[in-house]
Amino acid sequence: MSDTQNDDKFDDFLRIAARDYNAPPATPRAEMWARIDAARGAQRGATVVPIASARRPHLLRWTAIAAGMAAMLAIGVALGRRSTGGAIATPSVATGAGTTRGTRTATSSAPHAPNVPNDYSTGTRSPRTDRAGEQRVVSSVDQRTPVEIDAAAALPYRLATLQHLGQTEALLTTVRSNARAGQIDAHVAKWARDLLGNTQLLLDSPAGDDPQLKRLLGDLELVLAQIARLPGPGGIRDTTDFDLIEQAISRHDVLTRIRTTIPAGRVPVGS
Amino acid sequence: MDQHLLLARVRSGDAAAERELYDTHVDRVYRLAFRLTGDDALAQECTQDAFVRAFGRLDEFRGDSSFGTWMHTIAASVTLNALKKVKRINARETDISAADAVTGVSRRAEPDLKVRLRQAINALPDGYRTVFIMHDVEGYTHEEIATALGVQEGTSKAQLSRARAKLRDALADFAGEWAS
Repeated sequence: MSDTQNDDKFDDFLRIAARDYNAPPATPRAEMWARIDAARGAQRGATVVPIASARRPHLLRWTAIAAGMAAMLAIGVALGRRSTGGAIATPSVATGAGTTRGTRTATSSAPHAPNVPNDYSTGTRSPRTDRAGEQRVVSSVDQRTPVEIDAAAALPYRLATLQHLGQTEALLTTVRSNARAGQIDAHVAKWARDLLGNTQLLLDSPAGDDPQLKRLLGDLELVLAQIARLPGPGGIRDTTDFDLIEQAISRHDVLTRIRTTIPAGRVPVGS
Repeated sequence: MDQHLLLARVRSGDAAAERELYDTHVDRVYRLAFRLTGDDALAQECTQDAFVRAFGRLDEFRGDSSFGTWMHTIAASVTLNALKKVKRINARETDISAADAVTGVSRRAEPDLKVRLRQAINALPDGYRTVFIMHDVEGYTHEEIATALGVQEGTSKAQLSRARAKLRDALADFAGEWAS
């Protein structure tokens, strides 16, 4: 047999043999569409362009992401309340405009629809009373200083971060206590995946500009990635997995660092 | 439904059209993501991310290629970036857990062909592996691969050829399986 014929035979053999390589299961269409639909709802919610956004165009994109995150955090809050007996405060922050679709999906499992404060003027009119006592309608053009605008713009990310850290604390506490008891809740891996996604979003957002917070989120990313790889319901768990996760939590001291980052008492509510 | 009409409906905010477009392309996108990542959770995330990005950037789609080709370009990019990120995290974990790991276990040649093939594919350089999976496993044409990965068709063919050569070397012990 010539080399060419041999190569052709190998190529044919390879194509057949490689069919089993990472053979995909049936496409989970409905599951994925639900998440895409929620994210699309958040995207659409950010299409209203406020007057002040001309000076901060990049924040429009992050407002959309923050709104999407808020929907995901709602699910995390519901899970956190279920696992901690309601010990975690339910966040309640004013929503951005037009998150109808995302809100509909998020509230299917959450008691509240957490929101992100809309810090920009949308050109809406509010009545003001002048010296003569007559009501005068004025345009609410943003007259804040850049520092005030930045501080106000940072608020939703800080709130989202604090809420996220609260949920992550709940997950890590649950994982740790259950592992010590020799068992893990079957849905912990999925919970960790959701929180991992939020962590990565926060790292890429203005929230990640703070060096201390960036280090904490980076370490949480690592720990959550390990938890996210735990087998789901029905899967076989190895005690080594638990040991590694416990070591990662302890080595990075993430629980202590989360608790010192979150202010004492309730997670602050946006004004 | 005609692609242009469907896209026009999606652009106008038609949710049913969006779902239809998703249903048309999700299988192939998910399969590609799963083949490349080997992980269901990651494949789902990459698929979702790819569609969210595609729908959000629909105005950028000029119709030079089919929507499917454009979609797979986004999907390939998202998935390969995700894999790089996972590798980065895994590398950090290896550093962290290395002190606790028992090292020095020697490797033996894997006697099972399927396992050896799997190892060999995993060991391919990223570019070769991606082209091999897209072409020989998932049936993409070189034209589709070239567009998705942003390379020339000739590059796709060359990488496939090199991938096959490496796999042939790795599976030399099993030459009898295809030579006979």
